[in-house]
Amino acid sequence: MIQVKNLSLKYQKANKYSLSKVSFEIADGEIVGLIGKNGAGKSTLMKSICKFITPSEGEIFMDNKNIRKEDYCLEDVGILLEPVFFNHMSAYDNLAYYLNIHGKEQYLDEIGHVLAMVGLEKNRDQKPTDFSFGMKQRLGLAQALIGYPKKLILDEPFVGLDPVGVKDLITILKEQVKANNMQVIISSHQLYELNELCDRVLVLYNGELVFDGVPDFSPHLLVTLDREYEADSSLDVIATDDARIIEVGMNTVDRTLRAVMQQYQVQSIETKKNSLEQFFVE
Amino acid sequence: MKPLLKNEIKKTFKRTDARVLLLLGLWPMLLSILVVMKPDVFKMDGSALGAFEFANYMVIIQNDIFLPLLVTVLIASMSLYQEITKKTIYFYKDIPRKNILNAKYLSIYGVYFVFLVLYLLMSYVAYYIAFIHQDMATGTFIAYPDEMADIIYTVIQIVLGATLYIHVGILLAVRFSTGMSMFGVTLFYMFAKIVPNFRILKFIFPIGYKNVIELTSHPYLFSMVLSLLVYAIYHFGLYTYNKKTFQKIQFH
Repeated sequence: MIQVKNLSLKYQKANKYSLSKVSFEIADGEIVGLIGKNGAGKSTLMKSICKFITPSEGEIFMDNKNIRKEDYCLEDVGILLEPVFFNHMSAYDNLAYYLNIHGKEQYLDEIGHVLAMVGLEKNRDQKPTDFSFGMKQRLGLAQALIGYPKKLILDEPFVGLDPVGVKDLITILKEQVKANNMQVIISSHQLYELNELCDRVLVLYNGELVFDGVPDFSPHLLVTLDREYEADSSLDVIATDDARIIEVGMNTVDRTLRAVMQQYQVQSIETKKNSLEQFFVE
Repeated sequence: MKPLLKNEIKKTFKRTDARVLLLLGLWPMLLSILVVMKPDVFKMDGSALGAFEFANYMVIIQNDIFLPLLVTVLIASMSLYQEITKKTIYFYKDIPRKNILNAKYLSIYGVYFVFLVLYLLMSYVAYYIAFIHQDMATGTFIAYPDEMADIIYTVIQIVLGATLYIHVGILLAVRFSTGMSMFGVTLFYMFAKIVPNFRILKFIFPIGYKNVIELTSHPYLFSMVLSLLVYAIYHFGLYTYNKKTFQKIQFH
């Protein structure tokens, strides 16, 4: 389990919080999506979890170990923050080096398999300088996945991948998580893909965690009234930008619509299909 | 050998700049080819040389040329500054920073010492292949046994001096760009060369302790112990500072 408790990071010079009291947990077998605008603190949060940045306050636990107080807590964590490699070594040698320095020589035989999994089996002897960005991203994923990690931390893993690559990645991640009961946190701006992959979503806004849960993606009804809607707390209605249009959730649609129709004339009803993208924008 | 150290050394030796340094170790052989092709090209003033004197003389030349030291600083910069700025340092995850730095220290010094050994060996080979036929060569291993201690002392001082210049290079490579690190080490080298000429300042740098020889009845041993002590203090200070700096780096 990954536990983040009251994590804050303050830039002293700018007197600004990049992260402010962020707390959440990721359970075994759970894939959690991290979304937020540029500069919301997603990468900072991930780098803090990976110990590349020291937070000002708060604690991070991995399997009940406080990562600030112990070394080698990340040995079972696959990380993809930026696809960076040693350019004087081949793709294969980069992965071998990674496994060797972390004392995971027993997985050296797996390199070919993992490279095949990300579609780079024919490029194993090429140097990363000969790779396109998408190929580097795939190699980064191979590095994150090799050695059967128990946890995955992926920052923008879909960037640079073509649609087939994205689909492959989703399939690989789903399989790996299921097979190894992994805990995964993925940040991305590609919300459709995230929606398909994640069990739960965290939303960061200006360094604060403003949402932690499963967004409601059930369709809503958009009801256009004959006049402006007057707020009524007894009704389960969401106001919209247009005062004549209200949004009604499917759970209470019968009761709410009946009550609304007693006071207003309904001019039209449309179905609004919710998505993570819409949830994020709202 | 620990996996990190073993693989760091392997990785460092695979670098182009490390291979360039090792190629520089073959320089005495190139010189010998030149001498074979044009025997009068390499004339030296002064007394005749045995193989031992010749090899040590070559070590002094390479130190004065300064190029091998600069290439070593380049290796340090590739190993530290480039890995920090290009973020390949992410590879190490949460291996203690002290261990990472130590592995880098040992691999950088490792490459330099392999170069030095190669250079010395090549100097001997060059002497027996080409220079032995020159007028200035005695053909013996040691031409002047009485001066052996002085020669050894001088070469050890040069090697110790090189370790210090490299250490300064490593220190600079943690924070500054390759150009700045090279410039910094060059300045330090020049400063260290000048300082022994001053009466009091000469004792700041270990290289100035050669003069202590004149003051004692056991000159080389005493002077060597004293300069080793000062070198140890320098290295300890630089290492402690560097370790703290490296541990504090944030990889935004």
